[in-house]
Amino acid sequence: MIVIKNIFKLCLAVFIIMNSELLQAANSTKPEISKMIFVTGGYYKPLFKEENESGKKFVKPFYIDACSVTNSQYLEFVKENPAWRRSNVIHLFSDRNYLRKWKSDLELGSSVSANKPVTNISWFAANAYCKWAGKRLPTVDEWEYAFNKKYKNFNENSCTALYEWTFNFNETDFQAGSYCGGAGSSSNDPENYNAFIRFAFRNSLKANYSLDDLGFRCAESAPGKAFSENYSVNIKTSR
Amino acid sequence: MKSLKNKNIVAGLSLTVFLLVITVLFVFGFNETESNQIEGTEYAQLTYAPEVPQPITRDHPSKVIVNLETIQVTGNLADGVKYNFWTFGGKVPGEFIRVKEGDIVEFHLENSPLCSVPHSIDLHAVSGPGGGASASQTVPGHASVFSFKAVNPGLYIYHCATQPVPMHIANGMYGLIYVQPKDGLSPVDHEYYIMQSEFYTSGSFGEQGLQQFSLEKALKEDPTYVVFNGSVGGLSNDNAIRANVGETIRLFVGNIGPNLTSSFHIIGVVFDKVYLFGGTNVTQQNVQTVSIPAGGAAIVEFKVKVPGTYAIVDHSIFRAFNKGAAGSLVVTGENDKEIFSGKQADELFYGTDLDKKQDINSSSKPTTSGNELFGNSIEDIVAAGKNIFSTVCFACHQPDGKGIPNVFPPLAGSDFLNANKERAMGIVLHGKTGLVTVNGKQFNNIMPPQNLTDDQIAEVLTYVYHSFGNSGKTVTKEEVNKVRNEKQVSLK
Repeated sequence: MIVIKNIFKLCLAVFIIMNSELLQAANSTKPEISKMIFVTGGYYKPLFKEENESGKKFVKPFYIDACSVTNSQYLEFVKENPAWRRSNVIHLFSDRNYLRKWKSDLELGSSVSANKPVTNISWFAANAYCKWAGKRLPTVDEWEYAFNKKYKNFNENSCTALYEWTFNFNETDFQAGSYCGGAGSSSNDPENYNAFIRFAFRNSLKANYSLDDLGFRCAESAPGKAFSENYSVNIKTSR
Repeated sequence: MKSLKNKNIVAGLSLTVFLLVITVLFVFGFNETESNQIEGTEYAQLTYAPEVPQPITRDHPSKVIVNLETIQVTGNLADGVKYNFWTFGGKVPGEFIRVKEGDIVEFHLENSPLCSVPHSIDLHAVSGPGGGASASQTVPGHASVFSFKAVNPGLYIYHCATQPVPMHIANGMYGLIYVQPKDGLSPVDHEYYIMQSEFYTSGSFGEQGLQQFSLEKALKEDPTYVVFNGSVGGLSNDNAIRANVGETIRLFVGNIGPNLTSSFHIIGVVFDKVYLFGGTNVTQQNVQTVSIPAGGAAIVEFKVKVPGTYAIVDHSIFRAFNKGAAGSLVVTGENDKEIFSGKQADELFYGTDLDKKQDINSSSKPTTSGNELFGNSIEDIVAAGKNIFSTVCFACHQPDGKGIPNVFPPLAGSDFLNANKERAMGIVLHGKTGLVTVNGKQFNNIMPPQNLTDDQIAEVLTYVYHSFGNSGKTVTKEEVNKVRNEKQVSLK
């Protein structure tokens, strides 16, 4: 019975999302501009070794938001997409902490700063926002690759949430054997404890979790391989 | 006929044995199933160190609910030294959990919304992958539930098992769970909880202010702090464990490390019984020091016999002296001088009588001898004696022979000295301990035997008798030799 109910909820939600996307296309307002960094593709050493000889992984060129999505940006999204307002959201997609610090559906309130990263956002919500903005969530590899390049702003507290959603947040095999001593030996960088903390966090998540310290930023695939390193300082603007 | 009778006897006997076996199986088998049945539900009683929950008295297993909260708190690692501890239950070490063999434990791990990272728990008492680690992986503001059967009795470590595991442990996430055996342990007067652990800080030992975790020191396995019960002083003063003379103490001791093996020892205590590694058998009796590996435990039992403060240490002793691994057990009650007397004497000691071991001439003692350096005239002997006096005797009896009032008796005009020449030789040869009266004043001290030859003693005593207004007696080496060879010399 519960299963049927959930399937029904899921269908309803998908229907609402599709509708809202159609709605949004027809009724688009001028979006707030967000800066994006162009990240040249290349090989990088992920925290957990690849099975090939070099242990490296290839990442295609992409754009990534210079900062986490802010409360005011997200407010625009929920204004256009009533299904993602706090009182309307389906808890299958966002638990009860969704946007819990906001005063109401469409008011941030005095304790929430408009230019700070939005948190208490589920993966489903973050994913929907990025689609609405014409983008997508970055993959774990893209996120880590960009982070390792140490771009300005990427990990500054002023514009970055403590943790961020990635598209495939729970894909890394980080279970059972890796919980104790084994983790170090399968890693390219066993002393990178900050990276272990990020992977442990991602691996503890479920897609409907809406946590206090968890925000997101969006990414976009970059066309082809036509870009050279010179473009890496290039900043693209989008919403 | 005879064989038939035998057959009957055999058959009868077999039947009897069979019935007996059935009865025994039934009685014992029935009892066992009864005592294995889970009955009732209760909340586990949790305690902070050094307290231990009361022994479980029920005679059947139950469902036991454990609620443990992970929370990050800033606290004292030492006086004026702060650290952001990651904890089970708000303190380091985490709360002590006591359950009984056969219990079904329903574990609720609650991660405070104030935490910045996910947490989990690996209980070494759990039989199953990760010891509960995956099942209890919990983000801030969430709670996880899992259950396990307490199959194996004994004392076990629990710790956080979220990556990076070493950092979660190094920041304080550990405690003990005791699965009480079905039959329990013998009753004792006190049970206490002690946990040894290390901290790796950015600053050196005692550096004031908030300290950060030092990965560099942790990788080198070079802790800044090694402590009992979470801080320097975590097991001392108000946090000390206590007992009265004649009482029996059981210590549940864990060592989480994260790197070092503990040499657990209590100065002035012999452990009567040791359950090595926290297992269920008494593995040794009468043990001085127990080795406890990182991620291991031990149970020790002992009776305290004499009052006083006993230092609890990691006998890898620099840790105790320089890194904080020291606590105290305070025992009050009646003294028992037969078991321990306390100090009975405080004596001066000038080293072994080297005379018997090596040639006097090779020692650093005075080697002047009138017979070699001086002639045999009385003046030469006195001059040689003065030389010896100035090296050996003057420090106590003073250059003027007047001694030090109330401490060292005078030789100058001494009635005691002048009354008996042989006694004086005996004292130089064999030393003198205890009360003497010199010129009407009492002295109670020690003079050690002097490492001098017969010649030297004759010379120094002749010098003393010819000086300081004394009687002018002469002492010969033959006289000294005679006294030396007397078996028992009266020193009175």
